[in-house]
Amino acid sequence: MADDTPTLSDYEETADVEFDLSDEEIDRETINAELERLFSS
Amino acid sequence: MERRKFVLSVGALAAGGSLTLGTGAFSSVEAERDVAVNVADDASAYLGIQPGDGPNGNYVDTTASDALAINLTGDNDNIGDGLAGGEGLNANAITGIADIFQVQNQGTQEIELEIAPLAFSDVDMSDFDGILGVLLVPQIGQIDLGYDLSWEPAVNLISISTLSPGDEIEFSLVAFALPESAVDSVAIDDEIELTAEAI
Repeated sequence: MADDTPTLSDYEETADVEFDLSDEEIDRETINAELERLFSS
Repeated sequence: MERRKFVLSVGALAAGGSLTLGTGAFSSVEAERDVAVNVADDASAYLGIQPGDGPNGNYVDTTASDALAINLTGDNDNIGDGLAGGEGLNANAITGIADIFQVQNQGTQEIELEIAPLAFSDVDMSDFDGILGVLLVPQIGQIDLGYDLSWEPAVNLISISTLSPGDEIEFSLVAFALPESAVDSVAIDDEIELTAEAI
């Protein structure tokens, strides 16, 4: 199932949205790590 | 010989006649049988939609018709009774809530479960780029039950099969609100659609 671990990009693709985090303190890697943690919990 | 043969023939005729009489002894039957049908709330219905078992289930509320509703606002009825006063997400932060709700097959057949949408967003473009994103996460990464997870691009939908009777799937939530000034500027008021189909 590891290959199915969702990333923020997956959600953006499925929802046809784009979250612009370029100027923010929170980055995509942190969100992806949280997604992976909960997906595997 | 001829007489014995005749007697046997009469016996056979009598047996056949009694069968015919048995099926034709009545012309109608009236019987009463119970039919019991309840419309159950989400937790008890054949597709069980329930708050998570743990404390995070308190982030889930119910509507006036007892339908499940994720409620990360000050209107959550569990505030003061399992939820200690919080009225929303932190700004400039990522919030992860594990096991917020679960879906259980409480019927008789294997089903394929579809949930849409998976991602919710609100962006305030008026004064600044306030961003609110809410992502639903199925907690199946450690489960080896043969679930087939399918992400559907541009449909905002996840499909999970096969859920046998008694199987349940727990869902988490990841949310982020950015930047600090996003407070009271972005919000989400939407619906999740759950579809279960026998397979």
